[in-house]
Amino acid sequence: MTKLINVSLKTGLLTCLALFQLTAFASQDWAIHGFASQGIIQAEDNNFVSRDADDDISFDLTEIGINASYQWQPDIRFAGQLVYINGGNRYEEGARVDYLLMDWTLASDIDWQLNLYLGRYKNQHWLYSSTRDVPHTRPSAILPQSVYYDIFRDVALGSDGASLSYTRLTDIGEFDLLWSYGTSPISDSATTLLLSTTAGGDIDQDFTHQASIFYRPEGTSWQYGISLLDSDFKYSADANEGYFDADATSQRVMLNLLYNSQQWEFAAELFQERFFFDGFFTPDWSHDQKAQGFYAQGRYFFDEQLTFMLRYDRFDANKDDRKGTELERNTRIPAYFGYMYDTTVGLTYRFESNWQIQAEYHWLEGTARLAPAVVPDVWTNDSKNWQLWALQLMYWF
Amino acid sequence: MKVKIKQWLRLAPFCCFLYFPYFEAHSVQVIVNSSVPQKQLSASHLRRIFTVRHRQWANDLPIKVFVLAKNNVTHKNFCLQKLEVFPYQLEKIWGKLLFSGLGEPPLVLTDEKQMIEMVRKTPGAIGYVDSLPQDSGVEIMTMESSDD
Repeated sequence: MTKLINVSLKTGLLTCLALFQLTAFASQDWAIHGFASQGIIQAEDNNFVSRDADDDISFDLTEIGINASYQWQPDIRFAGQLVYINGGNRYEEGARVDYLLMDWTLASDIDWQLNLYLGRYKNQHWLYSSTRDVPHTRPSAILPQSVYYDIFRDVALGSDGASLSYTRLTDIGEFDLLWSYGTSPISDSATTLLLSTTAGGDIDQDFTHQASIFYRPEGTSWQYGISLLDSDFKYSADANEGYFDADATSQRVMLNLLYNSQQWEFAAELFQERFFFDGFFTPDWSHDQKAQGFYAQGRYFFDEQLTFMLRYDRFDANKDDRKGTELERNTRIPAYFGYMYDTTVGLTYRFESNWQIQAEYHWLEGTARLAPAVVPDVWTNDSKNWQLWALQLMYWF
Repeated sequence: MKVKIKQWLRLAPFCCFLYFPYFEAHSVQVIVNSSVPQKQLSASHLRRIFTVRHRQWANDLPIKVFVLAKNNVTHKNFCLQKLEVFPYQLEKIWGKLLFSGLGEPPLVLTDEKQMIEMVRKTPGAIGYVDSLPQDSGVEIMTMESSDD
């Protein structure tokens, strides 16, 4: 039944895309845009794409979206986007409202502007967080999992609540100050991806509180950023399951860097994430762990059509046990669940102004960023070293 | 070896002489609708407008931004000379705004003739051209020097 609903939603969205594309809808106040993409992907020896690790080449790499915006008053506009996404076991397949917000310019002058966003807004605090489902805006189909962990996708993508942005031009450069407070709905399948394949209860997010600053010094091609995240969750266990109610808190501090030149671009993000966890395994079980990670990514533009990408991504689940030796000794979970390193090369070819094909190959060591996050699937994910490749064709208007 | 470097250095001023007139000859002009209250802008202010970070003129009139296609030579010159950003950066910023709901990217026009026409008839409009005919009906925005 769910499959049927998903197929009809997908067909409906594609029809809408085709219709709007034919009429090229745009007026002074209204605008409609969209994107569609399909890819093939293969991950060996684990459940990254396929839950039962069947190793087959998978077509579970589909992203379709359509958005509209309406300028109601000079200072108030409305915008919304509907997406259908399928990433296999990476996140829940289906259609969803990606964002739906009121954008109100509260005040502005030539040097500054203050905006308030109400409704479902996207996470604007990291370099690729706001458009992580929009293929042509990303450097690769699979983003660095240290920062853009697909299992946390639903909670890191955006929230229902309020957000403020203040941008200011000064003599020393331009500043963006962003703040947001809201909650995200967490689906049943996201619960099993996060906790355990046998978790039968529900996760609720109490809130996500985020703030960030971006700074672009005058006369340079650099951008520096810092962002903070604080989020609380609650797990309500099902009466018939072996797990217990739980409370969890996630706190992240992240630095980011971006450099642009005529021929190449450099991007990096570095973070520490503290995770408190009470309950779940037993009512009085308690855990407090600090994870660390970063990625550094270079992109070289051969010309306007061809781009080469090289990236190194590293995640350590526990900064006091980077090799996972304590993890193995205390829990018998293999040490390679304590970290994940990913070296990626990618090639993007933009053969028309709105058409692009992207290919990438990942060499990975460790499985710390595979699902589920809390109770690792040691039977399915039994390879320390593994590889992943993807090829994706995308169109947008 | 030292002598050789000195000889080459003597040529340097001539290189500048050759280099700058080329740029001046192809200097892009920023044009606005006659309703726009602002008469002078710095490169940073112009960048804020074209990256959709600044959306209203001082008299609360919404800013309507028009651009030419990304492979158009005038667009490339405008990005490098006036905005001091690379065209791909601008495209990336617009894509991010558009697909995350934070803003509408500028409307892309086919040629300079259409650019002049649209800027002339749209209140609050801003655009750019390589050459502006007489009696075009649009105003030229004066650019502050980057030392300011």
